[in-house]
Amino acid sequence: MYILGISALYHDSAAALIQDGQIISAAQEERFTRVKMDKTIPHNAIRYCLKEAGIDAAELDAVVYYDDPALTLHRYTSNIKAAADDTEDLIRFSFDSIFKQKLWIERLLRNSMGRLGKEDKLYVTRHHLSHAASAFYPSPFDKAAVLTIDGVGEWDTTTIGYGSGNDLTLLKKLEYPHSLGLLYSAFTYFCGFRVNFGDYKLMGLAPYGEPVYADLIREKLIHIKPDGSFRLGLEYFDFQYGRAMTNEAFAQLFGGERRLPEGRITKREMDMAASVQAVTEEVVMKLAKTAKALTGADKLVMAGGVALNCVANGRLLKSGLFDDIWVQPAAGDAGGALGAALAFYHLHIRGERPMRADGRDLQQGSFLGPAYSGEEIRAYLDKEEIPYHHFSSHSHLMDHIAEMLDDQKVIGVFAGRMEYGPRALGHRSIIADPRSEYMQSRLNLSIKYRESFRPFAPAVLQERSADYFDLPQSKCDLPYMLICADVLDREDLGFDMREKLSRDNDMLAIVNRKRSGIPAVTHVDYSARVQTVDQETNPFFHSIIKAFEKKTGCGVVINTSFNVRGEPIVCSPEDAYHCFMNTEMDILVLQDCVLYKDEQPQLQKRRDRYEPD
Amino acid sequence: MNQTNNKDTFFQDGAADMNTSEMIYAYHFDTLREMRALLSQRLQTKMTDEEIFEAVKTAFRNKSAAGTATGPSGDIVDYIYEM
Repeated sequence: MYILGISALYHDSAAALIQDGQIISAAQEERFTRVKMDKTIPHNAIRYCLKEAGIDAAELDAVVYYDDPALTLHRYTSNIKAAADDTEDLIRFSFDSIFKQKLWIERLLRNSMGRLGKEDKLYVTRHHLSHAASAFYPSPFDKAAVLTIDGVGEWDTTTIGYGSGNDLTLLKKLEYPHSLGLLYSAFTYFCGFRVNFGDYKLMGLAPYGEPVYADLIREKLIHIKPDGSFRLGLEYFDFQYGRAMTNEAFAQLFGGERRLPEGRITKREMDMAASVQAVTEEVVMKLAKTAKALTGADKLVMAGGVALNCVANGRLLKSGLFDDIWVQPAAGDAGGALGAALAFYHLHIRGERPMRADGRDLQQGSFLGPAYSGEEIRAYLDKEEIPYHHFSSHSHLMDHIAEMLDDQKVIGVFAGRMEYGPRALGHRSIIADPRSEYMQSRLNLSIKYRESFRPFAPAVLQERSADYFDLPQSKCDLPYMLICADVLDREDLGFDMREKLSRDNDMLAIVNRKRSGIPAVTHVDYSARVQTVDQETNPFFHSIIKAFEKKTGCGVVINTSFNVRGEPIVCSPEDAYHCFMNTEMDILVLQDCVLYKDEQPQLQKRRDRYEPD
Repeated sequence: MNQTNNKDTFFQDGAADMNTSEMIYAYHFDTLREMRALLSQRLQTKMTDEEIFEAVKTAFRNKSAAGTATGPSGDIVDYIYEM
């Protein structure tokens, strides 16, 4: 039984195909259209998912959309009714959004697909049920508490549920406008980053600051109950009736106007980031405790955009509140496509839930997107007359990559199926040596063209993860880069970071300071967003790190997504080549083909093609 | 903050409208009258039939921008208004 799930028309459209509860394929539309967070009908992702299974749309048993447009209409109309009269922009936006698109989702999808499965029907599910299903059903847990937290979906912003076998029940909820995701986004906006694009930048900025505004946030902006439920102080926000996230009252709380995009980052923004991060972690911890109390479960699964907050996730894991937690790698709206399909299969069809005998999850490393064969890659390179070296020996290729990494080369890696979700996990990644204290700023400024303060993640051999990070041996399977842990081998900065920031405001001096044996992946608070890499799920990437370990003794590499700022992660060999040629990257590995920058012809740079995020 | 609440929680129970079997349904309408019926059915726990369309009309008719907007099958507001 084939079921296609679709998310679209909000942000990060995607499609996902399951067969009898097993995930066949899943991909975000942005990867095909090259428009970051593309929210249009995911024609390309749908086409890819069907092609992967070798079926056409008429053979689908069901097509399921991840959100209920009727309830969204109700929220929009309620919002407009409550708004003041001078809200023409809001009305125009709402009208276009709901009446031109969302209510007509069935028609829009039928136009795209020709036929909506055998029944030619579109099923819809609830936004947070989609998130909950995306978290629970692929997880390795037979029973689990379920926590979903995002900006808003229909009316809901937070839910607590319980999953058991193929049952899933949502027990408690919080409704719009009271939203932890929107609170975080308000700070993202005020600190000069793009909402829905820059929330992780704020999280990365937080360790530079101190949570001096946390009490102010609790006093004015969010009233938190002991059980983690909350209400926002709406008089400080503009997202309900305006087009901005915050208003003048919010600005007055924090001493003046917001930082403009690309403006200088000051201590205020660092402290605001630290403060909202502290409050977010407090709420997440309290919600998790309530979930535990309500369900009695010893496992927790999470989804929704806030579940991408790996610092909060790390704190939760370390607390020991639950024996284990599992976060859907595509925790944002893209994952809703998978959740919609899974919810339909388990709750509507009452299909049998597949579980792996080895206790691992069903997400397959989140390698659920398109792959290209060696023949396809070489055909592309030959056709474009691109110079390359083909390695017929896998071990020689791995040894060569390790040597180049040790020689401080920055390498683009393209292999196997593309990742589903926002993280590159070794199939569409840029990798480098983490032992250099200068590699973080080089990668940020010369390769990714992004802010110098932003941290990079370590990819570590799973079997060696406890050597580098503060992780109990039983929790060393973290393949999705969704958990922060502390680096073990620390070196003192030699100065007080915050005092230096106050005096010089020189973030680069701090970034370039050696602070551990793997400084390029050690954040200024000695944390790291860990990805463990195992031989079974991720063999190509595991081989690279293993070869690097053999050569250097270091079982860690830097892993950052294969893209530049504002660009979606590369999908095809052509995308990879153009990204390679438009950055200072040294080497490109297209599976078993190696390309050296200094052998390539001149190519007109297209760096301004992508709007900075 | 101004919004205080003396209750111990702000949570709402996931009762009637969160019954998972009712959360998934076939979404379909061919005519605007069917659309109205679908919305009424989906929103019955939130608003009465009349309230829904009074809300839509109030929101989109009485405020100026709506008069010029059209959906894929024509001026939705006019259709709704005529229903």
